[in-house]
Amino acid sequence: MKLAITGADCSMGAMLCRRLAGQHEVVPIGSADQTPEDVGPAYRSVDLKTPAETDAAILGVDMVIHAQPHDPACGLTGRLTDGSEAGLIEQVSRGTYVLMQAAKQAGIGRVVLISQLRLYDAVPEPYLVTAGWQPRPRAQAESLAPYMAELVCREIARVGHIEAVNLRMGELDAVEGTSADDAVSAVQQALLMDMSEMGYNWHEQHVATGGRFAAPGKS
Amino acid sequence: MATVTSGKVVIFGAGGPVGAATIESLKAHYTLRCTDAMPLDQIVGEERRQSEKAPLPELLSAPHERTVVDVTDYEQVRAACEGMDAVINLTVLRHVLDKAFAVNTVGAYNVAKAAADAGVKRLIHTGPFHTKMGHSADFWHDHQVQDDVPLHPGDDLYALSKYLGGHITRVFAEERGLDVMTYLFCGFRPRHIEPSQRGNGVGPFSVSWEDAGESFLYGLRAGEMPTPYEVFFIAAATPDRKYRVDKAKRLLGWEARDNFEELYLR
Repeated sequence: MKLAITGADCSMGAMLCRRLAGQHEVVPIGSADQTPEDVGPAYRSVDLKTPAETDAAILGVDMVIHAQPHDPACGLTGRLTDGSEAGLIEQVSRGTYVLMQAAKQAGIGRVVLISQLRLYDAVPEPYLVTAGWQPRPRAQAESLAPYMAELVCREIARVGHIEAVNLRMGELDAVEGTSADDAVSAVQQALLMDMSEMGYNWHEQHVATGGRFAAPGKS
Repeated sequence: MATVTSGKVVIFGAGGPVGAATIESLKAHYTLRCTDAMPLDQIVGEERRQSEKAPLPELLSAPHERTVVDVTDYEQVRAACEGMDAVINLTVLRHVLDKAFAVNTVGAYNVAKAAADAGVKRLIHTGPFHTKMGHSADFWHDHQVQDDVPLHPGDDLYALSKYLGGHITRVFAEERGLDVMTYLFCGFRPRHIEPSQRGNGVGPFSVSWEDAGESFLYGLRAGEMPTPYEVFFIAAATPDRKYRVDKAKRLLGWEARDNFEELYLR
């Protein structure tokens, strides 16, 4: 499968590029001008807010893994934004909109979004949070940004023509986060799952290796 | 208590027709800071009406103020909120990709953040209720749809970018203790009905410019709301029963005076 992976210049996206390259043809997409280490020569610096750049970047791919919202503030400097909170909101919300529209236009059947489990930090500790719970971002751009990406993907997927799988993950390889192994495994399942029986074009699940968001008995 | 019965109110997007109607409704009761991305003098001078019958804003004299504010610039928005008791956000940009997200999403963030930082009592946010989105997840074939129904904007640029702005505003209400009302609108028309228009029918989610402006007076004066974030359909009651408009009457005391009966009677 040929995969475009956004956020390739940030920790989660870069890890997915490296680990999935063994089984798939990967097109790493990031915002940094220079190619990050270890993601391969196919790396492309793309402003996802710009349809022409995004259209070209995902041309010919089978699926898109949109990992940039997992690390929303990573790499969003220089030509893309002014580094402001407003710039961050715009980059992630408009960038996700343009990416979803481009994927739909290109006939790409599915986008896998990598969002954050931190959207539930405000939920009291004793609660056993599941993926169907409403996210509770803080009133700050860095917290709102992945939520904006989720809403864009969900609402576009809701009306058909494209599927979206939302995987909420913790900090990569943190004790109370998501291990690289679990992240890769969840993404591979998301790429292959048959959603036709579900009756929905939107699916979401939590991917936590340890900590309060891990399944009972796992941490 | 978030009720604002007097004092200072800043209006963002005051140059549009809803802004014009809101100014007319509030000018005798509050000191207004009327802002728009374009000077109001220019909007009026060049007669930049949104449509043929749409009202233009009155250019108020002191103590009212008018100034240019770009809602995509947080510092400008924050300065405009300084010393205000309430904020009304009427800004909207519909069909241009970069500006739609900048105004409808980022602008909502800037306004909500500035209102919270400035300690204003009440924010009235606005957005569209798209009655007919052309997909099966809209509510076009439903009846008695209520104000609090989750919006399904689909991939429509205007609807989706405004939808995000609404969620941002909700988060600020829940997280920062900001008292927020979101008014949802769809169709507008003048109060006056031409004889030639009688029997032509009216859209199911319509309101006159005049009634729309008056709804903001009721919103500012309304008592404490059940939750920090309340959504209201601002529309006339029409006999098709597609959209319920009783929440605004119940919590704000507002209902449209213009029911457009002449348009849907034989």
